[in-house]
Formats: sequence, C-alpha cells, structure tokens
Amino acid sequence: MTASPSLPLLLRVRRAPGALRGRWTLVLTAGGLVLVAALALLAPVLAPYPPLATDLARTLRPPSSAHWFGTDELGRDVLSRVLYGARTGPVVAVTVVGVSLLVGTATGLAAGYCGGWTDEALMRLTDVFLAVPALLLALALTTVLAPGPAGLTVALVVTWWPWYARLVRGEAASVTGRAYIEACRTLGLGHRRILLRHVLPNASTPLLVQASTDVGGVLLVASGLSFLGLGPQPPAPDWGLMVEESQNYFTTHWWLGTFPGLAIMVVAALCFLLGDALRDRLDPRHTPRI
Amino acid sequence: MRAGNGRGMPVVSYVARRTGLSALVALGVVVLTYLIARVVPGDPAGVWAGPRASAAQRARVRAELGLDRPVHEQIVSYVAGVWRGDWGVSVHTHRPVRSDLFGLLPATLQLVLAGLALGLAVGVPAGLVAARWHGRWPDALVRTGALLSASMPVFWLALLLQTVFASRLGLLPIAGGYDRTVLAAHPVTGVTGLPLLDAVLTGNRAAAASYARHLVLPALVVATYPAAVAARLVRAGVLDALGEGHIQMARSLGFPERAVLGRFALRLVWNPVLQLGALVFGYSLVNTFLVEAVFDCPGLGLYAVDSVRSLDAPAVVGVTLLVALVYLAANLAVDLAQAVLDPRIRLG
Amino acid sequence: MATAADAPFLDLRDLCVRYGTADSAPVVRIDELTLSRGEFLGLAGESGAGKTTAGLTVLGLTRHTGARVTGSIRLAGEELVPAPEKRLRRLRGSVMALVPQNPAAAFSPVLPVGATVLRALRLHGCTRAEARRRAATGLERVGLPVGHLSRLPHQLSGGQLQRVAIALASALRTRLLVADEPTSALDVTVQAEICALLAELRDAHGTAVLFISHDLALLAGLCDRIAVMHQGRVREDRPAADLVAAPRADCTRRLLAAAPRPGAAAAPGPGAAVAPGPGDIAEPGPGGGRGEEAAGA
Repeated sequence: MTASPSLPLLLRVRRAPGALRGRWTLVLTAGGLVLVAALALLAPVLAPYPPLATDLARTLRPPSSAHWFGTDELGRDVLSRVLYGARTGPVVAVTVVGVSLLVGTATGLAAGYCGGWTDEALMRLTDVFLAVPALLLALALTTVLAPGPAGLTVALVVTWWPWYARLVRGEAASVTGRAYIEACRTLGLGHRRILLRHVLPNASTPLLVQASTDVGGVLLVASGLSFLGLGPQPPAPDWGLMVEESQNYFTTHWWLGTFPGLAIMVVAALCFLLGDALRDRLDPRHTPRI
Repeated sequence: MRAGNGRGMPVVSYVARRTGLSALVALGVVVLTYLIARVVPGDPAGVWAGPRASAAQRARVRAELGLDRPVHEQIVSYVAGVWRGDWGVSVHTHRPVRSDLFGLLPATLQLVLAGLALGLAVGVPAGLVAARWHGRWPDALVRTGALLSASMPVFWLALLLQTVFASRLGLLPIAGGYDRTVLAAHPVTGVTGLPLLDAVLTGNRAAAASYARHLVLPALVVATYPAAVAARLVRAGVLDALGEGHIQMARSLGFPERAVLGRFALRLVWNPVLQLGALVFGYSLVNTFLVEAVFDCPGLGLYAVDSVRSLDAPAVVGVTLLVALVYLAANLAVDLAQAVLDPRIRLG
Repeated sequence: MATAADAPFLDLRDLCVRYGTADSAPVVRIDELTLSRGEFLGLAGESGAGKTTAGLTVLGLTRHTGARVTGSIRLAGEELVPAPEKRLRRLRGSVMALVPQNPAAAFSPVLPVGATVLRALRLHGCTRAEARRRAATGLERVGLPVGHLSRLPHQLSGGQLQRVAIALASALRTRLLVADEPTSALDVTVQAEICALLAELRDAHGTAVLFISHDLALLAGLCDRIAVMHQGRVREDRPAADLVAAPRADCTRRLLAAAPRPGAAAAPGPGAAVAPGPGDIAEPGPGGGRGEEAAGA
C-alpha cells in the first residue's frame, strides 16, 4: 500500500446502515446539529445563570430544579457552563475542519493536477505530518502557541490538513488523466477553471462526508487537549476543561464531569452519524444495503 | 504460470524500499518537531538553570545546550546525536531523554497492546454478530455500541470507570501502574521489557497480579476505540463479502452460516482490518496519554505532558520522534503482514 | 429416456418466489416441473426470465437473499419448501450441489482450492484420509493433476476451476446438480469440455442435472428435455429434439433465432451424451483437454 487510509478518525466504512438509515437519519442528525448550533448561539438567552458567576453559598449542589445540572465547586451553574461550552469546543472543531479543508484541498489539487515532482514532494510532506498521531503533534505544537482556543485551532489545523490533501489528491489524480479533462485542456481552458469546475466537483462528495465525520473527531482531540490543560484556560467554560476540573470531585459529585462529557459524546456521535448518512445519500458508488 | 510475484518485485527489495521510505519520513519528523520546538517562545535555558540563575549562568547553559547556534546546525547535530544514541538531555528531569523514554515506553506499549487485543477480541465477534443478524436487533445493538464507543471522550470514560469500579465498588486500584510494596517484595527481572509479560514469564505471580489489576481499567478504556472500529469494519466487510460468488458456493456446499461468515467471509475482512490496524494503533497510542493522565500511570503520556508544560524541547522532540518511530514501525509491520497474509496482493 | 418415471426425483409444484412483500409480483411462478434420476433437463430463457432464481431456489439459496418461497419442491419425496434450514444444509453438498456461473469467483480467493474441497468433504462426514482420497479421484476424473488442489483460485483458469467444482460434486456423490450457466463465463472450447464432463458424471452416477442456460443450441445438444421460461413461467416443456425442431412458444422461437446457428438441423436425438457447442470444435475425449493448462500461463 502506498497510502495509509485517508481518514483520520477512520470511521470510514464503505457501507453502513441497516436499521437507522436513509433520509430520516440525515434529517434527524442534521436537525440535532442545528439544535446544538442554536443552543450555542442562544446561550446568553437560554442559560439560567452567567457561566462565570460564582456563588460560594451554593457550591457542589446536586442537580435540582434551580440548577438542573447542579453547581460546581465555586457555585457556578453547570448547565449554563455546558451551554456556553458549545461556543468553544464545537466552534474550534468546525473552524479547524474548515481551514484544513481549504489548505488541504489546495495542496491536494496542486499535487494531483500537476503530478510528477510536485506531487511527489507534497505527498512526502503529508507523510511526515501523518507519521505523528494528531493529538501528539498538536501537543507538541501547543508548546509554541499560547494555550487557548486560538492556539488549539492552529495546532489542530497543522495536524489535520494532510488528510484532506491526500483525499483530494487521490480524486484529482484519478480524473486528471481522463478524456474530458484532456478535452478541456485542448479547448484552452485555464488551469484554474479546469480545477475548480471539473476536477474539484469529483472530490466534493468524499470531502463533505469526511469533513462532517472529522468535526466529531477534531472535537474529541481538542477536548483531550483541553483536558490536558493545553486548550482554553480556566475559568473558561470548555467541556474538556470542565471534565478536567471535575477530576477531584468525580467520585463524590458526579454531575460536575458527567454532563460536559456527555455533551462531547452527543455532538461527536451526531457528526459521525451525519457523515454516515451523507455517504449513503450522496455517494452513488456505494449504494446502501437493504 | 500466473502464480508468484510475476508482476511485483521480489520481497527483499520491497521490504528495503518500504524501510527506506519510512526512514526518510522519520527524518522528516525529526526536522518538523525540532523546528516546532525551536520556535518555543519561552526560554528553555532559563528553565534549565532555574528561576534564580544569573544572566551569565543562563548564557553558559545556552552554550552548553547548543542553543546559541543556528537552527540548521542544531538540527544536523541533533540528528547525528540521535543516530549515535544521544537524544539530548531533558530540561525538566535533567536526565538523558533517551533513557527516560526507553524506560517509560514498555509501560505505554503494554497498555496499548492490551487495549488493542481486548478491542479486537470484542470488536471482531461483535461485527460478525451484527452481520449475521443484519438489520435485526443484534445489529442495531452493535452499531449503536460502536457509535457510542467511538464518540466517547476517552478521558471521560476513564474517569467514569475509575469512579465506578475503583472508588465506589473498590474492585480495582484507583491509580498507578503497580503496587510498590508487592513489587519491592517480588522484583521483576526483564526479559521482554513489558512488565506484565515479564512477570508472567518469570513466574512472579504476585507481581503479575498487581500489574494485571492495575492494567484492567486503563486497558478497557483504550480498547473502546479499536473495538468500535473493528466491529464496524468487520460488519461492513462481511456484508460486502456476502454478495460474492464463493459465499453462495460455500452455502451450496452445505456449510453452516457460522462457517460461511466466520471462515469464508471473515478471511476477506482481515485485510482492511489490518490496513486500519496501524492507524488505530497510532490513535490508541496517543489515547493512552490521556488515560495515563487519569489513572496516573507512569508512561510516555505523563512524560510528554510534563515536558510540554515545562517547555522541555529535547523531551518533546524525543517523545514525538519515538512515537513516530513506533507508529512507522507498526505501519511497516502491517504492510508486510498484509503481503504475507493475502496471497492476492502483488507487492509493489 | 426416463421422462416418465413413477415418482420424479425432483418435483416442483406451484412454486412461487417473491422478493419484498407477500403480495409483490412473483419472480418465478412454476406450476409444474419435474426431473427424474439421471435426467438432463435444460432450463432455458432470456436473461431475467427467472431461471437462475428457480435453480437457486431448488438449492434453498434464495432464502439467504430475502426471497419468499411458497409452493412445493420435493426432492426424492421430501418436501423442501417449508423445511428447516438445518435439513436443507445437510442436503446441500450431499444430495444436491451447484455448478457455479462464474467459477473464477466461486472459490475463496485467499484459500487454496483444495482447502474448500477438503472442508466440504469433511463437512459431509468424510475422514481426513477419505476426503483426500475422494478429492484425488474426483480431480483425476475431470482430468486435473492432484497438485492443483494446493493452488489458489487466481492461479487456475476459469475452465480448470469449473472442473474442480465438478470434481467436488462428483467426490461428494451428489444426485442432483444445478448447473447455473456453467459455461457462460468460459470460452467455447472449454465450454464443450465442461458439458462433456457433466454428461459423463450423469452416465457414471446417474446424477440428475438441471442445466440453466440461455443458449438453446447448447441445450439441444446436451439435454433430454428442455423447459423454456419467460417472465418467471415455464412456457414450454418438451423433449429437446421436438422443442427445437418445432418450437411452439414465442419465447422459444426468439431464443432459437438468437442462437448463432439454429440448432434444429444439427441437434442429435435425446440421449446423445455430448454434442459440440456452436463452434463445432473437435470433441475432446473424456477428461481430455489437459493441454488447457497452458492457458493458465
């Protein structure tokens, strides 16, 4: 094999579904993600308390009607913090995937379309990046970058773009030799036009599927880095950080860490499901199994 | 004859080429991580010399660590050093990075391998069950389980398991890699380097039990992701294989469904499983970092996190390089294993 | 020949095969079709006529792909339609077997063909030694060296693989062979050899053969009787020579017209074991065609 499989979090399975399948899965998962986005946007309206407001008279209270998810060691409302948390982790994940897509697509198109020496050099470069597991490379990078959402995003983009570069390169290389691209060339179409109009559309479906799955994957890695203290810094309401802060109280006060962890899991699962559903709907080469 | 490696190249040159490529990539990794670590905004010399060091002391440390030379010279001398077995000196432990790393690698490797083995042992049968009862409740159960396992943040799962099985039920130790008192009474002598395996091989029951008890929860956490991937892959692969002619032929010969799936269909699935094996290995390797942080097991993960926190460039580069080397070796092993296992694969 | 035995070996009545819901249109709807011991029955039809589905249903294989089967299939008096899977499994490979459409895909690509052969024999109660002996005899009968058992499928040609499949059926001593277009993936020379082997197997063991093909000329030279299917139904079921000489159904005429050389004139009488295919190539001797090995190079 030349390529390690082109997916980071490798929920790449050619066919998925059985029971949950088809349009309904797509609608439900997309709906779920829209809901998450709405919660993040409307956090200031929906959150019952400010996320940073401490109340030392009411610390470590279990879930109740006043505090649905309980309060933490500083008396902050866990529900409000979880709601505000949707504004860091998922936003970082979406940004990382978006920027990686742009960088990776450009690199991949260049490699696949030019071929030859450019291709070889760019692909060996991706080999180097892919030889270090994402979390570790990002970990090393955070030594350079100031800890915080911005540093986290940059570190993750650096680790993630090569996957897209390889994916796009593969698709681009497979169509570049074909007759219709040759025809475009002989017709004197510009390189940019050929690339954007004729080569890229071929790669868009696998890219879209991969990107939606990756948002979940990046969220998991980003939360892991936050958990290690390399993401947003206290007192920021970040899910990974909240789990880290709950560590000392986990045995006795389960609600501190359980809810932010659940939030990560739900969003990641929705992204993975969306990726599956999109592949089944969009990829004509892999018709779903009955 | 169509047999043999007619189209491909001989195995030896294939191995040589793959190894050469891996070495090149490893070199690239060194350069990459060194570049990253060199741009560190902090002052490693300051960390090394301590907070109360004078400017002169710091300058001396800078010269000692070679930090005053141009970056490309530093890289060349670092690579040459690594080649000679000198990985530099850690800024935060003040010990040679190489001995630090190789002392910690076995514990981490043991955790990853245990996790992978456990994951495959659960995931492969689960995938088969899902394919066998495709579209019915066992399938739905396996698919839901796989989805949740893949979406669960490992550190969170580690905390949950720690709370339930160690703190609440008191069944297993909360943290650490072994019991000091047990190990003091029954020291383990190294054969393979993997502590648990060594203890078992030398018949050291007390130590083996201690290691095993401490390994259960971390290994379970590490196993969730490989299990999820294996289940999904095996399920999809078997379902794909069911459409093939030889499956119908096997049925027409009266093979029971279990043999049809387990013997004929599963054989075709090993390849994709192996292919993703290296990737899952790499992912699990860094997952252990998080798991070690929760269970406080000494290993590469804790070391890496401490190094990052103390801006310890040689240590960070060292960990990254070592993990990359292990990962590249796993990739290489997978490629070779594939060529051996699947006679259809033409090398090259 | 034995068209009117007292109790037919295989007896299909009111057989309906449907996919999807119970009221969807049937893919196969056979009111009556019988096959006696040692009889060679051709099942002809255009593609999509339901002949392969009918053949696989006899083996009980369409269940696995979600088909609903109603009606009756009796094999040596035993009812197969509402039979438990376990019973069917025992019959498959011991009493009935499949000669596959595409021999190249019919053996696991990662196992030596011998592994499949020996496992199948042991599955049906042979000891290890007996399995090996029977496999060797079977291979010899089809004119392949025993060493071919250790080859992987991609190291053998399609014709050789088909012969391995026939050798396996003969080693298993099955009484009914469902040959699902066994020669459509092979070239014409090899086609004749495979047909000759099937005929030989029938003569040696009295095996009944259900030979599915769209090639009426081929069937005419091979079969005692031909049934022509169209849109899931049997339109015509008569002795081969009669049917070819004086087709009654439209679909039969279309099939005859489509054949490269309308076989009526060339068709030998029923019972003739082998006739060359449309190519009129020299007839190979029994187990002949060893030279074909060279084709694998």
